[in-house]
Amino acid sequence: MDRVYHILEESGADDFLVRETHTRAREAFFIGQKLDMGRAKEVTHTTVTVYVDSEDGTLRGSATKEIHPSGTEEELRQEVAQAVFAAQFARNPWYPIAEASSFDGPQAGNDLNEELAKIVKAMQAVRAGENEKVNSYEIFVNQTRTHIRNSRGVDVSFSSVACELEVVVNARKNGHEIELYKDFRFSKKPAEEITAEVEALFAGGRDRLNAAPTTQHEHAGLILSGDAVAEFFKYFVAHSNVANKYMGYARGEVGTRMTGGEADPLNICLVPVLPGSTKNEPYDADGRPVIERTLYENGVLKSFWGALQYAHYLGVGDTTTLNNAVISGGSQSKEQLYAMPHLEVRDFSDFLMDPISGNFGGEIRLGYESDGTSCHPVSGGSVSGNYEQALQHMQFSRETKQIDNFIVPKVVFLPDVSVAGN
Amino acid sequence: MQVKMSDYLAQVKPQMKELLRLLRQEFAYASVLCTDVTGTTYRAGQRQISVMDNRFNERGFVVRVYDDGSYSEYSFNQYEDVETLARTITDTLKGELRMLKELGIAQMESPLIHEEALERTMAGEVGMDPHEVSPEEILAHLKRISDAGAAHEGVIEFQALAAFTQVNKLFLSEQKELLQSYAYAEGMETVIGAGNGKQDMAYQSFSGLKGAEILEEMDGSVELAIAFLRDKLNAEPVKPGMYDVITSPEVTGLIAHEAFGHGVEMDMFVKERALARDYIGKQVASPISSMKDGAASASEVSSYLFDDEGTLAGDTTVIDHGTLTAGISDLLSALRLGTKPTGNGKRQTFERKAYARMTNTFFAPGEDDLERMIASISYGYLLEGMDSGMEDPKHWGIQCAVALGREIRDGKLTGRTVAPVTLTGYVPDLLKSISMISGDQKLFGGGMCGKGYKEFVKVSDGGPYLKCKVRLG
Repeated sequence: MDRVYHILEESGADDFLVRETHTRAREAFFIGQKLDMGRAKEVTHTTVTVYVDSEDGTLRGSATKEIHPSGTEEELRQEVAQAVFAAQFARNPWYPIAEASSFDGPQAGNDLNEELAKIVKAMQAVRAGENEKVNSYEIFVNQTRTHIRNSRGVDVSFSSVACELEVVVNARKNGHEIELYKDFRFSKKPAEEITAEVEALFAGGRDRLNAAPTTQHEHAGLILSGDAVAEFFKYFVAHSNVANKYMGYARGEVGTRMTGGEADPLNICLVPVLPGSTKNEPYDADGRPVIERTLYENGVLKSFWGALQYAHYLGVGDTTTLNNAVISGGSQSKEQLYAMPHLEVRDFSDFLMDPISGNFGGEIRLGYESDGTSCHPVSGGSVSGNYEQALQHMQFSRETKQIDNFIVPKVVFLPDVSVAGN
Repeated sequence: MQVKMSDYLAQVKPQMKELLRLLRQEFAYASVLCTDVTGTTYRAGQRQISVMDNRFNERGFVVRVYDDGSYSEYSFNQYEDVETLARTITDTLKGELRMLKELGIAQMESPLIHEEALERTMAGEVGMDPHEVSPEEILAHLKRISDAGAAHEGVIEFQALAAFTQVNKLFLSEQKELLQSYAYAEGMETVIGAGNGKQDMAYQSFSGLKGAEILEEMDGSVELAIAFLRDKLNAEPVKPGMYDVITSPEVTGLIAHEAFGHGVEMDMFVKERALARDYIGKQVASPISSMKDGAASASEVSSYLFDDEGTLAGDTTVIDHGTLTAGISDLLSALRLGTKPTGNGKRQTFERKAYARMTNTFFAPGEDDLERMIASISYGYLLEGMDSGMEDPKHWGIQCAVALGREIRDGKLTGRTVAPVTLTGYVPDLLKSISMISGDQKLFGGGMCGKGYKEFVKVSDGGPYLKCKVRLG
């Protein structure tokens, strides 16, 4: 870091930022419950951003480049010089960089083998039924130390932990086997919870084996209940982002209501730390402290979030980054929402949400059709809808759950979506 | 002109050879993949101009060793001296394995890799070296494209992007010494606009084993991007149902990729995650259709001399006149299955594991032409533009997010459009319904491919126009 910082000081750049991450990781890959491969890594990445201003100070160019620490002094100087040269042509209206701050967070110091062993043990404890099995899983345990310095006195260091567990399970019936997939991301998760959540996948597998084809319906009530719930709420996050606003397609206006009068009140708060989340860094990529911020209150946008450059352009300079988002529960219980006729989609092939057009949907891997009293599993076909309509009448459950760095209502009810099926 | 080899790889080669010599004292097999991938992405729009590294840039090493019946890997990008490095790798990998054994974890047995002696070098060619064109000139070119697009009514933003990548890789083992340097370029024109009470986005993409000449190629496509956006803004929702459709080469590529691209990745055979394993030699598609994958099957962004495990590039016929003939394989899966590796072992970067991955995947051309294909449909759609897709090799479901459908009635395009369109179905039903194939073919390498929701790598896919029957929603 010191060598690169010194070269940047002498580079002629008007400002600069250097971000160094040092990551140690342990990984284990399993087929069934047998070890397929063990992996480990130790890598350092040093990325610099150089800023070059126009003579009159109204424009600022920048270029971002990874500098390889294995390079010689001459190579590093040459790479920085190339970045400075390119930056003078990538000019945008002038913007500031983060002001001085200093922080030296505690080292994580976890024993990576021990952390890996905890997750392995949780997976080995999974009890499969006669017609179910763990097909395969992959475990990643990453521990990263980040150091950010800039030319205005930012000098912050902190540690973070990110784990990933990708699990595939199978269920079988009459010689026909299907699979269910789940990607867990967390910094810390009790072993019993991991075991229980994987075992819960088996129930979905059994239902999928008994699923009927989805019924076609041009105006169905839709309940989202799986990981798609977090994706659904990312629409509101996208429309309150300063970069998207500056680019001209975010709809958010401070003080303006995004949701319809009949929709449940939308309340979204950004929080720097959420237990178990993989996104708990105290400083953002610009080196600014991550702070708590209310994005939406009762459907009304209260503030934007995002990078300093765009915040400056929009005149909302005190934005913060998004580490974790808490979306409050709605007005009704989960049971009340399930009491309405609906199609619940628990598992999509891939739930797509396009913040520009407002379209959302995906293929149904596992759903449940219900008249409000009884339900049966369905599979196949697809759901498509648009936020323009969804915003007017969407309802959320009072109960919430955590999906990595998002706390979201357990279920979302949308009264009018199109379902392609039989 | 020929792509220049990496000085860095030449410099580290003797040290990596010494590292392998030291590791061979501890392990029955050791190899190292050394990567030096460099490149720059230039972007110009009405609101922002930027210069940054490419997403796939990397410089580092991944060592693979064989110990006690199974393989382990260690990724790194810094070292002081090779003796210390060899000790660190040995202690770390043996320590992890010991810990897992102490937990009572059983191991999958893997056969030992036996290699033939092989020494090969490859240097790619590009038309115009992007290093010879200044950032000022590239950005000015992109800004002109952006300005031309932004001048149209209803356009909110028009961004033009060009990315130039040079891939340098060195693979070393006891028997192999492989070195390759090749370059590819990507271009993208993205337009966001509003009209008809809606807001939407459209894009045109460009790619190939090219250099800065891709900029000239992008010049002529601004109007196409604008027209595509207008068609999307004027589109109506599709009425859900089964339709006769014609897929454009881009959508054909998406189907190839999701249907029997992911479906024949042979690491999924090892895990019993792919139905295709039981269908080799059986009919899975219309007898008029054939499909290929291989780094040596086409010249696009995923064409190389050797893969990330040191296997030479392959040219695999996946479907031959409707019959599933072969899968695509990484080295370790092939060892376990007793098959020949096909040169499809790819890593996101040196930091990640190698999996069986697609390279250039496409349907082979047929004998019809688009005009005759449209004339054969009484009510259906011509599907254009791809957004994304998702595989389901175990259940043979398919999901393709398609940008636009153009209505066909009584053998003619009506001018009406539908969007967005989600194409779903059961893969064999879809592929067996292919009834006409055009004689032309195009590949697209502007995107990337994930395995599940991670492990992104560069791929290209495409093919001709296909007529088939699908469910749209």
